[in-house]
Amino acid sequence: MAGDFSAIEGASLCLLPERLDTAAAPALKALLEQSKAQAEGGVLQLDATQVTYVGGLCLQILLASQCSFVGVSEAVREAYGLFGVNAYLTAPCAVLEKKA
Amino acid sequence: MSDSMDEILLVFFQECDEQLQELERGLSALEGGETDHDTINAIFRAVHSIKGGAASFGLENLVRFAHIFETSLDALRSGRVQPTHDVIKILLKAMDVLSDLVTEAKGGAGVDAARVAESQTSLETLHAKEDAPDSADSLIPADFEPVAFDFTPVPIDFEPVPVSFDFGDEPTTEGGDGADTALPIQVTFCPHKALYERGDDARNLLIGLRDLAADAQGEAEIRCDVSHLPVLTEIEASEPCLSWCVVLPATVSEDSIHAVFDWVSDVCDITISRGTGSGPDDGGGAGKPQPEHSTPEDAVEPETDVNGVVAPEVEPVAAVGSPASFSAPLVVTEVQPPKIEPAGVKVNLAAPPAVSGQKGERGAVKKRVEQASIRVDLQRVDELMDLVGELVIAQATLETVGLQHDANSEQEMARRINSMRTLTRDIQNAVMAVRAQPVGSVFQRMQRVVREACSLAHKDVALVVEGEDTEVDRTLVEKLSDPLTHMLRNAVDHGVEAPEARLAAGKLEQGRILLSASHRSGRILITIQDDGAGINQARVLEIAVKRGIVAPDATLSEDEINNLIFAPGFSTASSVSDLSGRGVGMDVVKQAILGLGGRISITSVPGKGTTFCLSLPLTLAVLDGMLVMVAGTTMVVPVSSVVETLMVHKRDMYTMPDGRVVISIRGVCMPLLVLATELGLQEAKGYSIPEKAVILVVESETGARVALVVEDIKDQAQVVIKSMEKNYRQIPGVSAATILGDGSVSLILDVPALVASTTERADGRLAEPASGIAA
Amino acid sequence: MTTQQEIRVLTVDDSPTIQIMLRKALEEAGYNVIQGCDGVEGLEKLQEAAPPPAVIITDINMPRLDGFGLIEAVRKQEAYKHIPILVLTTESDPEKKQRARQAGATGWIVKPFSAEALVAAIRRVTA
Repeated sequence: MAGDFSAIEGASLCLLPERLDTAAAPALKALLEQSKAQAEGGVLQLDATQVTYVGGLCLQILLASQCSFVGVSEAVREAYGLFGVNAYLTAPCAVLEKKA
Repeated sequence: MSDSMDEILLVFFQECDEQLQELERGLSALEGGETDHDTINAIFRAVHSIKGGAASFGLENLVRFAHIFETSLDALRSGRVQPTHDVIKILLKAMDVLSDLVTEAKGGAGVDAARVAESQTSLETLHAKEDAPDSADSLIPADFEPVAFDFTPVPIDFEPVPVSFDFGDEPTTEGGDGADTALPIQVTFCPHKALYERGDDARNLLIGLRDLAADAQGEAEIRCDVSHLPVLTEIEASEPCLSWCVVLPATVSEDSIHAVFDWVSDVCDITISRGTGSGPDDGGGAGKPQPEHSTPEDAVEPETDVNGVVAPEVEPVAAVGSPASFSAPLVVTEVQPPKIEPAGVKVNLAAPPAVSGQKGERGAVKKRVEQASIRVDLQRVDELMDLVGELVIAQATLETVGLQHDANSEQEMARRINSMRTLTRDIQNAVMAVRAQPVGSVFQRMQRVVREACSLAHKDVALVVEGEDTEVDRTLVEKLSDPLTHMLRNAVDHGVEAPEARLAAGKLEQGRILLSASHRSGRILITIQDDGAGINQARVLEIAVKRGIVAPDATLSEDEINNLIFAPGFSTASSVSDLSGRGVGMDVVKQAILGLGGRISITSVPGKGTTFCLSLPLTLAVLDGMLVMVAGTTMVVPVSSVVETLMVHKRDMYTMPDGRVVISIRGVCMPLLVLATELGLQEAKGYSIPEKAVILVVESETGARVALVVEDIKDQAQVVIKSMEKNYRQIPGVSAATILGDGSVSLILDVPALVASTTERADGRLAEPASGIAA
Repeated sequence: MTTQQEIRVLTVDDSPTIQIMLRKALEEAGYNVIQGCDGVEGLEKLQEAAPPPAVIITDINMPRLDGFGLIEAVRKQEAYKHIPILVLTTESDPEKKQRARQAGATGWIVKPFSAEALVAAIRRVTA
């Protein structure tokens, strides 16, 4: 299992809240968008060490953000395994770029 | 373990009793024409709750019957059956059977199977009309094991019936029927937004599938389809866009997979197919707008592969944590007293004083268990708590004042003690309120008593209940049951005439008994009034003479004749009927009422009916008394019976030819009773009423008034009642004794008895000598 | 493994018997139990609970406000609408089930229940 996470030099860091359940999805989206905006095009990394729960809706937001982790909790590791997205723990996910 | 089971069982039986009352109330209302939705719903709920609880304890008989009952009620609820008189009759019968089954479950008398079957059949006819009778056993799972009534075999998890989380009511076996079960099974699903709106989550379904694989000693291969995932800015936080493909071992049954998705089948697209999980072509794909590629590998298309990284091989996820590792620990800890937050709190009361030996040993044991706890309105307990808080404060201030020794301290002390007195009284009232219970619970039971008495006596009598909200001390409520039962049986048997006789007398065929309760001058008054023929006095007298209860030549007043039915060994029925002839006469009823500090009186109007009046104290513990001086001793007259106190001049008293003295107060004449001589504390001879006498006008429940002459009125105080009978013996004219603040013993006068003895004397007969005190 | 100590469960049932059984089963499994005797009290307890319960278990047939009403009310409140709600009932009528689904129930447990099945059901929606 790929378990090495490393901080990228000069990257901005975003600490994820503990519970990423259905109710937390809108806030997570807002948080990530804002953090990305603050990074001003730079690399944004996620600190998922405090996370205790990841639900389906938050999972897709995390995947869509295409951010890498600087660290994950056991709960996140378990969740990614359960959701069948282990691979994206270490490698960002590809997304559909729609032309608006 | 068995202790905690017993405890829960107790709660259950207590609930059963409440639900049965609710049922009784509801059916009575229905009978009275209240056919609204709420009434019927309440009835339904009562039976439903009993069924639910009974099922948890494996009380098979009870569950079976309750289920059929419930089905009939459901037909009523949905309007498929109308609440006609006949239907209600069937329901009432069923209620009685249900109640008996509850008693049986408690370990009481077994229920006659034929009776249950009969009621069951008539219930079934109610709902048989509509759809094929849903089998009575359908509720009871195949492995439902009858559990013995001692409940010990019930295992830790309360009940013997394993129940699956999802109840597969609509098995949808699309595809795969004839498929080769040797092939792995592939499940593709795509949750809708509504699935999350129901508080569910895709991960819950994945866990369900993963557990299935674990149960089959295999692993679930889970792959996520991210092909519809937009960029962050375009993603809708509440709109799911992922779907999953899970490959399960071949041994996993499709039914078990359907069970996982059963609940969400309407908010999730699911495809289940047999085949290999490795190829992208064999799966049905998610039901949503079909992704061109249903596996992550394929989803990584060159043009969207921003980082130029090809998604790595997805690792199959091992099933982690079988359900067993999550299940409840098998360690049984001491069960705490049941805490019920809703509605009320439970307060354990000391068991009431042992009932006299009337009951069999077993009955007595049962009774004790049943009475171990009561439900109390939380607010009442809070009030009590508040008062106790104030008491603590009052005590503290009293201590402070006690330490001061200045001029004001004495006065201050008196003031404090005074407020303490108020507080004590409030606390006493609050405790009384905690113990108080509406008589309704007993009254409800009486409906059945009357119903059964009617069917035995072949009479039709409606019992009308009034004032069931009247509250009395709990011990009284319990003890009222037996006397009331007997009196009502008596009323049906002897009071109300046979239907033919009623019609002949120009009355309605259906008789009517009114059972009412009310508060009156600090006591509770219960009346049982029938609209029958009244007491046949000639016949009563004849029997009394025949049985040697009165002398053949005695001349008795109407009242006295009526009261003969309370004489030991009296029974008017020419044959011992099924009903009242159970070896208990009205004399036992009278004794029971007297034992409760109550009185019973009877009035009867020929052709119109008979009324029994029971007057009982609200509590058996405390009363407000007026302390009076009689022949140098202090006596207590219950304040509730004192109408007024006044000074009367000798010139307002008149001596009658027979030597009795009456006084006139504001134009109303009443007999004068000198307490000292009446109680034998002073020789009547040579006693002369003083010029100015202190008079207490007292009244009995019947409204008769007597003026009592006392030496002085000392005080008014609350006194604690101590039974004379228990500690000494019964004394006419004295109801009980008490201990005063100075430690001396004082007698509490039985005013109604005094009034009655005076009235009797007025009728020209000798009163019972009330002279036991001086002895 | 997360400890269950801080996981709150709100149970709503008008039967004291069922309530005691639920409390016993859940407390033995390490849950923190809050109880309401009908829909109305259930909603009150929900508002009072801080933090809010992780799951609600409710009966269907109850006075004042029944299970359907309770579920609908919870689903309407922003703060609580995502809380999983399990229906615990003796009912097995498909119509009732459909109503519960539409109201927004997360699952359906049939009484009589076993402590294990109950805990498994809760774990499934809260794990």
